[in-house]
Amino acid sequence: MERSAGGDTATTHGAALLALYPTAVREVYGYLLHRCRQAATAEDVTAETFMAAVDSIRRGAVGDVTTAWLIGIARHKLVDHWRRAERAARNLQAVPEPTIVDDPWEAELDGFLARDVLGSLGAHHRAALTLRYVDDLSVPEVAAVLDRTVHATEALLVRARNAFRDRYEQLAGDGGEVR
Amino acid sequence: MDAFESLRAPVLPADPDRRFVERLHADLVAALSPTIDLPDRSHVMPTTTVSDSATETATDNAVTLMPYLAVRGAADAIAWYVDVFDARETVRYTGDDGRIGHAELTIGDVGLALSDEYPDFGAVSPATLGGTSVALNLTVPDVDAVFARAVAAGADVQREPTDQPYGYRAAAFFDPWGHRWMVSSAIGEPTVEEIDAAMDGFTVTEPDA
Repeated sequence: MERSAGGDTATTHGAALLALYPTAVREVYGYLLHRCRQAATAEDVTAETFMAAVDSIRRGAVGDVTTAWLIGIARHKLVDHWRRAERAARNLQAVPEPTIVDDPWEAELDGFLARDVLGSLGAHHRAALTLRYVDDLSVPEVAAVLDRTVHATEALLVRARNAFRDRYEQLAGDGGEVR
Repeated sequence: MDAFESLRAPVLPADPDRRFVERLHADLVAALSPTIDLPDRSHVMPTTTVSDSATETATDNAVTLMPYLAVRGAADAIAWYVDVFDARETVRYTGDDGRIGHAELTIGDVGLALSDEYPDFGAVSPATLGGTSVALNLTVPDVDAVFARAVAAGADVQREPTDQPYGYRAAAFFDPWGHRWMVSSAIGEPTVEEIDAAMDGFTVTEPDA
């Protein structure tokens, strides 16, 4: 986006955000809905995303106001949401950490079952797998979103893949019913 | 192929609930517009209630459409519309910077909203644009009287009041802020066939009437 010389960048970006809103709100909401699968949550996180965008604009911390930028914010907000949900659920369940082995898994995944499994995992595993595989981010990009080191993220991904695989194979054996 | 690769999903747009979209839009506008100080409406609203203002009918979920003008010099324009069109001003939001962020008028039974220019939010006026693409088609009991007041108050005449074959006596002018008004009074109820016969150069139909 062009910036007028000497113009107020924040107001220019504010106008750009409003102009982008009608299309961007569908993209951001769609991104979130397909990953969290709950309309109410997708709405909440969509609103958080746009309000965070406004904050960034008012602080002048914005390069270009684009849908891609908003999706990036949405990604962070979704991870935050899962972390909050996990904190809330932590007292209710203790998930044992599986042993760390990472061998390749060659299987044709059932898309619906895979989504169910993803949704049934703990928030940190769900976030890592969503960012790495659903969003197709690189490991360093996942690390940046999760605010972890690359090494810690690699280890998390190994554990997340194992948790996913255990759960998937268990459910596929049970005829696909989650819980 | 690694099984996990099949999880990949592109960003597909989805339609959120319309009310959510509108509410969030309103929140964004509010968060982005520190210059508009929203006063307590009870101090601004006149005691006379406007039963059919767009604001009130909107709460009934009726479909409404209200022109919303951007005017460079909204306060003067409001005075002009009150004078020329017998408008009543029913609400005004005055920003800390002196600009009018929002005002509503009623002319007869219809609503009209306007604000000063807020280019950051796309509210730019004909004075900035150097023209206007939308005309305001106002029907009144006495087009000649309104036209005379408009001219006296400095309107730029485009067409004097003239009887038209479609059943209206119509005039057109630009107000001093560049908005184009088409003002007319009903003078008959011709059939579409009569209108069609009278309108040289046009074929008149009623596709979905």
